[in-house]
Amino acid sequence: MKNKNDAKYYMLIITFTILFFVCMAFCFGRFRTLARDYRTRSLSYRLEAIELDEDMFGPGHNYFTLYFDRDYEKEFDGYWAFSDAYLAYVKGRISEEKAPYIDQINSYLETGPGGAREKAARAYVEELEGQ
Amino acid sequence: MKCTNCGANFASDQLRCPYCGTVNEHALKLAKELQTYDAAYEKKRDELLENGTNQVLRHLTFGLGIVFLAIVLVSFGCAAFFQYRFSEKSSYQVTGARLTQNKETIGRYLDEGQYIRAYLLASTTDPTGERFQNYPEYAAELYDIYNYSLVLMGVLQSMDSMDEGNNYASLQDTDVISFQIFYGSESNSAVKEELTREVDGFLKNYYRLTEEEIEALKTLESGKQFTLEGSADIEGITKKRMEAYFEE
Repeated sequence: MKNKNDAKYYMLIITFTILFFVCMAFCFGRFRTLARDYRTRSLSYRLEAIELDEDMFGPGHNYFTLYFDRDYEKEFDGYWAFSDAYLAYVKGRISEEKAPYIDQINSYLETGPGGAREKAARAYVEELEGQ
Repeated sequence: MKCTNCGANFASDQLRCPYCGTVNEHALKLAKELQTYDAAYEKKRDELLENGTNQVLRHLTFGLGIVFLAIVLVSFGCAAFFQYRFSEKSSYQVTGARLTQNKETIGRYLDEGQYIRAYLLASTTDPTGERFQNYPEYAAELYDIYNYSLVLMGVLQSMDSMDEGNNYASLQDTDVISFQIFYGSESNSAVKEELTREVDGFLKNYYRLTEEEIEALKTLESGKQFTLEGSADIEGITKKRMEAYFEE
């Protein structure tokens, strides 16, 4: 009689404990996902990511990154400005009329972007003029 | 106490007379009573112990249950709150000043010719995605830009593979569908006109289609197969033309 009564409570305690850990595991998973989402959507992370992309694949890759990560905020102005020049280069490459595209890239160069972007834009102008 | 048999004196709690061995009835009766009392006491003690243990376990179970339940409820509550606070959905809940500001920004992007940027801002802050419910005044233009962006991505990715020296990524059936969707929209905005010139340029200068073929693609009835030189092998034909042109 005594053991039977105790067993009931022990079973309940064990059940509670298991349920508790299951719920905690679920909540932990949710929090981790949310924390990662929050981190990856933060502006600083996205700026770091696009800088890393630019270092690894060159500024010509910016357009794809901006498109897929949907970064339209003003913090990405510089990258967008280069991407427009890059699109002008792409269109100029396959077009017979190169002049308007060369002008567009030159007007981008006048803004003095500097660094790898300026170097790449100059290379685009040279390539279009050479064709 | 006096022995009933020999009359000797001995202690009243002794069970037998130490002199003649006669049983002390009084002590015997007391001993039996004591035994019964002991048994009853032990039984009572066990019952009390058992009840006490049960009570402790009951309180422990109840207490643990309440504590676990509270922690679980708080955790789920926090999870739900953060889910709401940080979810993408919450960024769609754009109203008031922020919506007005977004509309101004989209207008500015469209004026500056930053079409893809305008489309990205609109689609990420709209609960209906590409239907642009939040931005009805720009919906037609934004939808055209969305279709244009799909065409553009196809062309850029195709050019990427060309740069790497792979086979010419020619016009494929999926590309044809994205061109058809772009041409198929019924808007007549200035943006559409400008984008149409660019899309025509891609077909003409990159995929090497003639003006007549581009016109045929624009006016193709839905459900009908697009053909080049009377053949459905668009990929093969554009590939030959692109090779002939770009290898010059």
